Amino acid sequence: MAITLNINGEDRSLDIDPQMPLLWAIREAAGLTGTKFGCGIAQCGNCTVIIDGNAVRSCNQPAATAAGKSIRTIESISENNDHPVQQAWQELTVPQCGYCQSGQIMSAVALLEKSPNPSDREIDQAMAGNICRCGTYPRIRAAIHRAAEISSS
Amino acid sequence: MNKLQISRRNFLRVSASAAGGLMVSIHFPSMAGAQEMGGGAEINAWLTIDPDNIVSIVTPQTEMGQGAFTAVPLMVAEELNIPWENVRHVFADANRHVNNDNLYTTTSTGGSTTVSRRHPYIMQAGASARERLRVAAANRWSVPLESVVAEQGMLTSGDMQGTYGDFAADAAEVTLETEPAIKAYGDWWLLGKEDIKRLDIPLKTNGTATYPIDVVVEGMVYAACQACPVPEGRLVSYDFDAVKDMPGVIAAVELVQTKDVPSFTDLRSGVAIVAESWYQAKNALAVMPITWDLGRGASMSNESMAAEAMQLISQPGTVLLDEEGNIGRGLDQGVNHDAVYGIIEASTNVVQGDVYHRPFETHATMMPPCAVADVKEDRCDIWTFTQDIARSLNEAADQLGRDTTNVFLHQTYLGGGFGGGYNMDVHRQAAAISAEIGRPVKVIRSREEDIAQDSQRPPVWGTFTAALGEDGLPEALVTHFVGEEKMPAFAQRGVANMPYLIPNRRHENSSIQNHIPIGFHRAPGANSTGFIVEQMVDEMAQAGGWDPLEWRLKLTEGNEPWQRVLLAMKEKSGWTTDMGDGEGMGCAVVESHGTIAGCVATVAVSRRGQLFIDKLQYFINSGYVISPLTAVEQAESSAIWEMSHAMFGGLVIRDGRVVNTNFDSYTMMRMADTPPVIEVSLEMSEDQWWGGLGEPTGPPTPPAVANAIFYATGTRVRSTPIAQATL
Amino acid sequence: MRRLVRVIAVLLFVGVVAGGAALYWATSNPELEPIELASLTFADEEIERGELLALVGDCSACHTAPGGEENAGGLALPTPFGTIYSTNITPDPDTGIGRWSYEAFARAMRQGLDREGNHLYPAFPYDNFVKTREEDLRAIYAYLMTRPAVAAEDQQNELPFPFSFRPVLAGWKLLFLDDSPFVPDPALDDEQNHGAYLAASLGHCGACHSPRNAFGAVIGGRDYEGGEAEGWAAPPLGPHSISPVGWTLDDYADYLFDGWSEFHGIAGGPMTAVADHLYYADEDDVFAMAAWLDAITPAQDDAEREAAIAAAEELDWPAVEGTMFDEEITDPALIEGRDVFAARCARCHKERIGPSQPYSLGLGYAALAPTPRNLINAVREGIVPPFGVAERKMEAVAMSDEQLAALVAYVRWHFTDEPAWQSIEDAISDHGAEAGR
Repeated sequence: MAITLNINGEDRSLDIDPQMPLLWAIREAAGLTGTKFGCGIAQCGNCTVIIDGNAVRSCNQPAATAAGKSIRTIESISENNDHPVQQAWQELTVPQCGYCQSGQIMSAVALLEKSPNPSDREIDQAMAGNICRCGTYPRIRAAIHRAAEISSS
Repeated sequence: MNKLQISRRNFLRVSASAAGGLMVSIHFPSMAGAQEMGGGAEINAWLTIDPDNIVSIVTPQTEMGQGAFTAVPLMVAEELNIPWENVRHVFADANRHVNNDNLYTTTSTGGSTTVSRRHPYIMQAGASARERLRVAAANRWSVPLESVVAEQGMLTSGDMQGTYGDFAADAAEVTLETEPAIKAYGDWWLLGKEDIKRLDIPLKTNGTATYPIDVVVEGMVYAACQACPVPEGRLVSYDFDAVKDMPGVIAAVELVQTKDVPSFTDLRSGVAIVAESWYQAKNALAVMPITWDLGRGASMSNESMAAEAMQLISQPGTVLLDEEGNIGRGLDQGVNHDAVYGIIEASTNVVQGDVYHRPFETHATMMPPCAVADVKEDRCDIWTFTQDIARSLNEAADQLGRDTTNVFLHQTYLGGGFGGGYNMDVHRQAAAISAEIGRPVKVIRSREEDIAQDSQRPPVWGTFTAALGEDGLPEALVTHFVGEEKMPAFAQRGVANMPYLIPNRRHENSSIQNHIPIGFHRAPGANSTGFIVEQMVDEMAQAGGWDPLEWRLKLTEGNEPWQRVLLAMKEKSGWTTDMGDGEGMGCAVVESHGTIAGCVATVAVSRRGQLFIDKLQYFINSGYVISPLTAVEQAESSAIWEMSHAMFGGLVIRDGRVVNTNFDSYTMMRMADTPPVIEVSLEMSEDQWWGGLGEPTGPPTPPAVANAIFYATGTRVRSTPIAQATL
Repeated sequence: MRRLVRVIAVLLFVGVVAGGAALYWATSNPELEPIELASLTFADEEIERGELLALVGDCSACHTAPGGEENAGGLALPTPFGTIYSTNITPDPDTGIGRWSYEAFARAMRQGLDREGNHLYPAFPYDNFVKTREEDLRAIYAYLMTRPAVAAEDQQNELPFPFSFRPVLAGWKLLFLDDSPFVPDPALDDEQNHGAYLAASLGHCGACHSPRNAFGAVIGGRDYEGGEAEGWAAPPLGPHSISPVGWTLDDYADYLFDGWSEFHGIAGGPMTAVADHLYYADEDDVFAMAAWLDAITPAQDDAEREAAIAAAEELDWPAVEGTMFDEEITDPALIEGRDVFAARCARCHKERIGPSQPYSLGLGYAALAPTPRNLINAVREGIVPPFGVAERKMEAVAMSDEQLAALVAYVRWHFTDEPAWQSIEDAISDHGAEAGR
């Protein structure tokens, strides 16, 4: 059965079971592999995408529930890897293994769109849904502040 | 009484930003990522040089965030003498390595050895290429070799000048009479620079870095696997008919275990469901009726294992020696182990320790283990989660009963490793399933299956008894550590070879029975024994009226590398054991991977038993450091990794199986839990050596925090997770 | 129900309008002199104390709009009478309180009058704040006047007549504003009394946790019997609690600091902000409130507590994925609800292996309350975790109204012994209507 999902500004007609978790619709059906699988129960945040402006865990949400909404993945945030969040991530050498970073970046992007100059506390709260096993948290926190700075300059 | 819990309002107390001091802007190469070898001339197996002077350098080790893909090119480029922006990194060809007498010596990636142990031949590869370029230039220009200078990608002699690229093809034909020696520290122009960023960073900010889970092969289907939830158990039967009509389901494949007791990397007995989509395979597997023979572990639990450990620890164990047959480095040799009990019995000042414990922990790499296999008649291609591409290639060939010449294992980035990429059978699963169904297949472990089947970090118990002399220092010490039977060494490392000059020592060891698979887990052994030894030391110091840092300084006198770390801790950390009620500093030092890492933790415990880890300061003596930025990143990473287990971790074993198999119940540190200040200071001894840096800050962290909690509250935390301790 | 309340309210209000208006003219309140902000000086300690007390008072929860500057106002507060917008309490001279003297501030907190002498709606809980002691009011004033000024015009309230006519509030105050000072209870110790004082005054606990009458005033003599706030049911507290597991000092402390108690559940709705503020408040102040709550809560012995926990845990679903709870159900509606629970809830809400997992549903107010509102809110909106337990996030779970109704009925039936909820569908459509607001 085909459902239409708006991913990164493009309507994609995907021949999938509507109950397929959105994550797998994005990865397997739409072929966008930047969004990662980590736990399947919305605990680790690897699968974070932005739906209608909100950072959402896509792994346990049926694809059909995202129909008619705007879905953004890591692939969409810049053409040249130069979104302020990406610049800050590179400047502060945030990623290590890198696997969780798509999710971290999407959570950070959603946060900064809502709160352009977030406090440490807002950052901790917004990023609570994302686990990094390499422990890059101090650098992520610093990089979000840096991204806010880059955006405002 | 309140549960001790980690604080999330640290930043109110200390407002510094941890990574702020590292903001350095440099130019770095725009990388399309690791690529197949280009069309340039191969000078030796490690590098090719394009006509436009771009050098592609091979890394045989895997990149899992620790920086191997930058460190290896750095070492080659140092010797080759090529501008850093001309360097590209490429994955090693595992097939070529395996079928050419281990061309790159080893592809194993563990033990923090990529730089510390492998640098001689990696740097040699660069030096050798440079010399051959010089010979090629001297030959073409007909000038004496001595007159040819190779620097920054250019060859010059008098007025004559050319790029490395101009001479690459010639150099490939040159045979050197004698190979050049590698450079000494002090002659480096590239290594040791503060501002070298890892080459894989840009790929990891836009989702383009490829991990095994991202590999797509034409016609590929998906599989979910299940091995017996009680490890060592075996499949009896399964009812595929019950699920074969579920959406997308294609087939069930039995995973056949060939040995009664499999090694850690043999295929384990189980069953897989293959489907059009991975979630369909997983859903069908979850409801398919399966019967297991649970094996010997079916009644094991944390409680039963602890009971056995308590029983063992109450009686004498096996006396342990270090690698040299001595009971400890730097001691008067020939001390009679048997005298220790006599001294303790005769002493009037005995310190009797309680039992310390660290539980099972799991790797839980952010990418669950995953492999893609495409097995055809004439060749097999594999992409997999591995920390040793050659080993996995050999194992896949073994699984298929094929010769290694037609097995190709393609390196990708890894979504974490931490030792989990060694004792692993996911590539065997993928190979077996693809061979069976005749189609390419991607196997993804669900997180539940990953944690249930992982090669876990083993539990350790330990206790001690010491007799103190008149000066308050220990005269005699006996320790008893209990590990498990599969890898008993993990309960021994760092114990007999502790550096403290205690004149009479005896170290005993025992092992419990265990059916849970065991693996290497970032700083294996030291991560558990360090927690115990370094609190034991504090207990002895306190009983003897010594400041714990002074005690360590006193009992490592003459041991320059340790003294350097301890003096730095004393002088640079603001050390005090008297911070006032509810606040404390604690210290711990652990040597692992040839590196001595000291940690000073500053904590506060509030009225409700809330733990604030205000600051973690590290003083690391690893000898040479080729990339300070990566060294600091790895120090932060190991520290948070191990603190995560110490605060929140701990596997729960019940009825022989791991029951907390996902992140709702196996919890780990998140951003808000992270200490606001983590400082890293690299302390280099005069007398240099090469120590590893991917792991050593982990082991001293939990004992430093636990010691600090003691000074803050008077309560000693002897087991983890600390978040469940009651103050 | 809501409509009926409103009709009655309107009738009653019309009754008091005349008297209120008369009173207004009789007691017309003077405008207080404006001041120059620059003329104010405060001691650092007073400002710091004020900051901590402002956290207990939860000022910024109402005085900050979503995504807006702190304390600049603009949050929509739905009431049974219409929507009231909170005001700018930053020291901006033109749009905030930058021209307010301490006397003007204290008069607002105690009498519900702004500097010009206009009556303020009791959505601003001056009926609680009136009990705040002088030195505490001064500290809060010091804190507020030293915050950054933000220029933000107040928004017009959306109230129908007669509620839009402020003078009627004089009548309301006459009837309902008890301005007697806080009296310590000699049966309590100093810490408990301090907690009682904070709860009654700045903490304004009763504003949500007590039932209100048709005039929107807390009903005398029924303090802490449970109330309503922003579409959430606020549970009854202390002696009125219906929690199967009795609340202890530690439970209260955990909940106030973290918005979470292992055997009672997690804060939702407006309580999240309360916990987030208390997390940063003075530890002794929060402990005092916990001590007071503990003092007014009947003790439960350990055996009873353990039994209550065990009874709830017995109803937890099995931890093994794909396994249903073994129970006999005949009602097709409940079967549907069970299936929704199995598909959408049971991966997280299941047997607890570790303390990090969700509490047993039978222990919490969402399942036990007389209304399904909290449960519906949690499913529809998810739970934004309080700061102290930042990882305890629940994502909104998308499902149809019919599925939600079946699920809610099943949760009530399976996890509690309480009677089935009536009019679940109404509660769901109410939620939908408010969400679309």
